[in-house]
Amino acid sequence: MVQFTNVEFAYPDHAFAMSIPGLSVDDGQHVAIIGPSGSGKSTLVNLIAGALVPQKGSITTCNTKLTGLDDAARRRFRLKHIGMVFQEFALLDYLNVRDNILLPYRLGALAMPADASERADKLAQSVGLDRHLKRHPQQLSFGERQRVAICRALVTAPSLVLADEPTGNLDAATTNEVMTILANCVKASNATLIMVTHNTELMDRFDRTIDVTQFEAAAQR
Amino acid sequence: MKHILFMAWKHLRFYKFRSAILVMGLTMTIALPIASHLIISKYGASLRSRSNATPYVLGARGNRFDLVLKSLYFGDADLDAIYMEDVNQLERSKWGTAIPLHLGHTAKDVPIVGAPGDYFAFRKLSASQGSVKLDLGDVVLGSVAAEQLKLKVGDRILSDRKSLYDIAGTNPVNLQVIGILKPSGSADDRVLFTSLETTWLLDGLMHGHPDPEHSSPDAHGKGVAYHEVTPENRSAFHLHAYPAEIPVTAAIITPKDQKGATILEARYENSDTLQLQKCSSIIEEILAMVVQIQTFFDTYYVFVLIATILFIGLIVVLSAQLRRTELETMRHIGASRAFAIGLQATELVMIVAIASILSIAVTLIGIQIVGQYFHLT
Repeated sequence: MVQFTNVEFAYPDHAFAMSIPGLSVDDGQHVAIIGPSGSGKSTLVNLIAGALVPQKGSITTCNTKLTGLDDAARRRFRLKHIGMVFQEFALLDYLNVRDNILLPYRLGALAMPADASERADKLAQSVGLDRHLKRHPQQLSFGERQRVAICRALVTAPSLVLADEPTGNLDAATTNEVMTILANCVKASNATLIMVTHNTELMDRFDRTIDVTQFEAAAQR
Repeated sequence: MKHILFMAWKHLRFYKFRSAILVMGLTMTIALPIASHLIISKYGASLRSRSNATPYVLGARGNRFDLVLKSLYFGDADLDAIYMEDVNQLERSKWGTAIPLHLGHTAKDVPIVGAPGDYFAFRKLSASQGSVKLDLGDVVLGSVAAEQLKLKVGDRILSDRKSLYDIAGTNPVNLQVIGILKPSGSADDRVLFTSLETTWLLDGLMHGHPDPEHSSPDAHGKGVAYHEVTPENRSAFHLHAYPAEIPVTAAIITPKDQKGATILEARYENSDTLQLQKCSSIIEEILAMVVQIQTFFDTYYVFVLIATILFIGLIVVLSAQLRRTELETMRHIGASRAFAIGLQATELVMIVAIASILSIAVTLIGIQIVGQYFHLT
């Protein structure tokens, strides 16, 4: 599913750099990315998604060599193959739940299938949001908002779901609830899950963990 | 594109208050200068059309603008009277024809214009109901005045007393409606026409023997004395003044030809008591002043426009900053930078489009209201 080969990445200001000689994630795996703050967890996720491009090496995600694609092609790739869940939910206040779930189809590069709305409704139903489809994010609890974000990540039936600390803003009970929903939904979609987390209590839910501190390269400035 | 339109519309609808402020600000900025230009242009056209149809006016020395505007539009200005002898003298000179007008009286606050029958032919006015052949005590209503006063042919209307406290003054006259004019789209629609003799009766310069006085209860139940001219008593009315002393307010003068115009202009140039004014020149003077004011407002509107553009620019910049997280999320999910820019640009275009449509509506309504208020036609 994901293959890194001799990847070297540094931000333009060289404040942070990563060196990943080799990394692979198999199809269907649920992987946790761990490490202290500022160790490069989000950077790794962005490299996997093609939102960042390494200076050296190659990254292959979902059988596509991202390092050989231009920006537009990588964006199309992300929309088609990757679902993303963020810590701050990142829902649009002005869209209702159904329209937030359908957002990936409204961003221009992906044609909206005829049954997209039906699929959004089914996803919402599967996470218990079917009564809230016409509500706006502010009218929902944090847990409900993250469930909307999970549905948005899965609406395009991606083969890889990247979650960047999706439970970071939630209490323990809601964290468990959201994690169960995320894991079940990803499993039902036969997708791979790569999730950044600080929460050590969640580790037994994953097939494996990747500690990014091993990839930290010396800052060059 | 349809998705950008969808999201832009949802955004504008969700933030209704902010969108409304932007739309209203822009609407006023667009509508005000356009409306003022159109109103002034309509005002100018209206003034020019009536002034071009009225070559000269003769009146007492005084404010030339008041003389022309009162003679053309029958306004409230108080003018000193001239005498019928002045009018007759001009006619005797054969250099032009005169149509005397006697103004100053009202009925239910609607101006009464005393004029000879020639006036209707001069203004190309004809009756839609009844006739325009005015006799003593008759009145012909302009179309708007008829509607306003809810009168029809055969009804009567009592003229107003000049002053409520003028107990010793002249009694009002109960005027009989003999005709209603077709709408002309001019000041003639909003007045009542009587013969000159009727206005002299209103002045108290005519009376009958025996005085056929009537009385009707006023709002307080007290009797109000008034004159009423009927076919039976009409012949009993007569003037109590020397012809030279019979007053008129002004006279519309049509010179025989260019030579006549020049001679008449020269004749009244040095008169101590009379003035002859070319209506089109006076109106152009007024319009020149209006244009000067318009230029001032144009400059003002340019500054308002610049301020509005800066204000909108500031809102767009602040909005982009506030929406940074939203736009970054979209980029992360897979939107292009062009999509984010397009989304914000579309919102702006929608606001401008809505404001433009509203501006047209506001302009049209504004012109209608101002037109009615200032009787622009």
